[in-house]
Amino acid sequence: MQAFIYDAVRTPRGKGKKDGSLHGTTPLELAATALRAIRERHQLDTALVDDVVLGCVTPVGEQGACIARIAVLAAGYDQSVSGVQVNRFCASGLEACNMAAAQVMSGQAELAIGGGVEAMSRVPMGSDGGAWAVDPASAIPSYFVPQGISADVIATQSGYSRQDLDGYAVQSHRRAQHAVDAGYFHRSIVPVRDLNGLIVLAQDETIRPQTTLATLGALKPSFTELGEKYGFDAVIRQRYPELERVNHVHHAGNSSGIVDGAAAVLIGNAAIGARLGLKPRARIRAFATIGSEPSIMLTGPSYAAEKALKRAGMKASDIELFELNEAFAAVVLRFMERLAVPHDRINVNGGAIAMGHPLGATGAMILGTLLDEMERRNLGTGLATLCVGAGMGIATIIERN
Amino acid sequence: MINYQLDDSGIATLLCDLPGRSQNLGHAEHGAALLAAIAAATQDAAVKAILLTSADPNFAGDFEWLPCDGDAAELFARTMARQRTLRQLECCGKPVACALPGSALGPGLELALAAHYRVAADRPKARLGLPEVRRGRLPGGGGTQRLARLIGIQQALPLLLEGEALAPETALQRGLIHALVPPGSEVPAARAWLLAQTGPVQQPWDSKGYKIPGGAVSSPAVQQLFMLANAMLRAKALDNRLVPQHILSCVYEGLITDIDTGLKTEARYVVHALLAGP
Repeated sequence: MQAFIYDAVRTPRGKGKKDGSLHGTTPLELAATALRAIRERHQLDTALVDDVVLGCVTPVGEQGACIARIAVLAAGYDQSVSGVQVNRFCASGLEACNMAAAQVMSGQAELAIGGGVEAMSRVPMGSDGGAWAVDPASAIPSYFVPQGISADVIATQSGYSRQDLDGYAVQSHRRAQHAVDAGYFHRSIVPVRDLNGLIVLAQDETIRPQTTLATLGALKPSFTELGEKYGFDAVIRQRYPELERVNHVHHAGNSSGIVDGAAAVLIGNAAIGARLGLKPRARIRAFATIGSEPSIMLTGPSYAAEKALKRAGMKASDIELFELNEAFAAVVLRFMERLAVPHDRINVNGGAIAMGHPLGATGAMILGTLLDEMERRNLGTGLATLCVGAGMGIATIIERN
Repeated sequence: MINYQLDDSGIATLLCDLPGRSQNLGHAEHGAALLAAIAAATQDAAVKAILLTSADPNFAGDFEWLPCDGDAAELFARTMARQRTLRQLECCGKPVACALPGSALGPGLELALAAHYRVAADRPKARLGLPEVRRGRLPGGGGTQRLARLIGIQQALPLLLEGEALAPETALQRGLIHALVPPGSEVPAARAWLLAQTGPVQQPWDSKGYKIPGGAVSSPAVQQLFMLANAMLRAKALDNRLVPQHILSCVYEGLITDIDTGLKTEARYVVHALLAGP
């Protein structure tokens, strides 16, 4: 059975701090906003939706207790629609779409929604605890280091200079602003409104088109102290003894921003689309996840992409457009190098460096961004991928006729 | 309407005086004049301290803050302007004291809650409370946010949801006011407190290390409290459940965030109630 994407929506991304526009909006309301938009854009009889799979990386507090099912209810969906929250760290939103697609492909669902939500200003990253970095039985044998150190090691290994990374970051902001100005995000963005219908936020909030190499150059590296003073450089150098030292080149300006947001992607088989008069926007051709070396952590996208490409019987050069989450600039530069992807075929409308990375939602957001741009350029093949905590990668290949 | 006096010690006294006011007329104008006087006092460099009080024993009157007509955007802008002015008052660094000669209900108490110090005349028949819910309204001047931050969510919810008004003695015990004095000596008591302040003054919720009394929204006790409050609200089968439900939402959503965001959250629910009409 084939799985098709019938629609993709997302909220704008609000700065993930107290003064961010979405700080006063609960994660429940963010998720419900995306789900309502799916319903309203198609006058969808929600009783036909078999399941709603939502990524959420910090599923505690307001985001706890299976927020997917709670969002289904808050959005006023039919009570027959089940919901499940999944966590594959930064890949959660794409994982949710893949799981929804897998249900359709296996014939166990006709129509499903994948998506994600993260209100990082309200539920801080890491507040769910976990063994990974804390339990000596996990952290010490796996050479745990914070992922900014991992990103710095990727840059060091590959010889990416601070200027290389900052140059990439400047482009992210320029491309994102251009996409906003040209209205490329209009199809997907659903404004967040309050209960009176007033707009709380209509556009991504953290794009700074005036960013230059000079403004970024003034920022201090974020991970020098952690690395040098608290021993993490030494830890990862034990894992990679060939490293003479770690160049600390990542900072707030060439890494993904902390933001709030949600997304939803409507996925179903051909029959239900035909029955409801929905036009398939793309077919989900293949997807893959993979584990990679956990200390350097962020090299997974190339391996996951290769795995998905192999499954699809394709080569990287068969893919016309890529979206790779801009967790850190070095992650994207490494991927471009490994898969020989030119810069004009990847993250062409900017990414998380400019617009932020709402952990659980990003994967579903970039899948929608990829699809919108494939349609705009009338391209046939696209691949969305993300690096993932604890050394994982995810990739999804979509195809238009 | 607002009698404004600045004395030699730098204390600006804002005296709410509404001679011959009727129940319904001029209330919104009074609120607007009060807000304007507050804004002026916070900005005037000659003012070193601010004293709020009332000529009528009913402190600040039982007035409307601002006109309640208009569309959602107008009402929201107006509500937020009020929130910002009261926020300006409590954040201006100057000590702000409130002398309550008698009752303080609704907006009167909300204004008092934005002061750093509240001293009341010991009149057993006086009442302090936020009775808005009984009229199908929400406290719209920060009442849901400040009361819950002042005395804790568990203590504040019954007052907000039932609109119960407390005698001054009880209000003192519950922590709504700081001191009780013989009638007629509340203004001197407030002045004495103001003159005793040496450095900048701020609200507990703006102080470093502030914790919500009785626990944050995420604490197990408060989580259970909301669970039961939600059930009790529905169990009562009120004709208009939406307003108390929205008061609960103001406290739940608003106390997860900082007070500025919480005040904005309150404003959104207030506007919703205004649009729904009486």
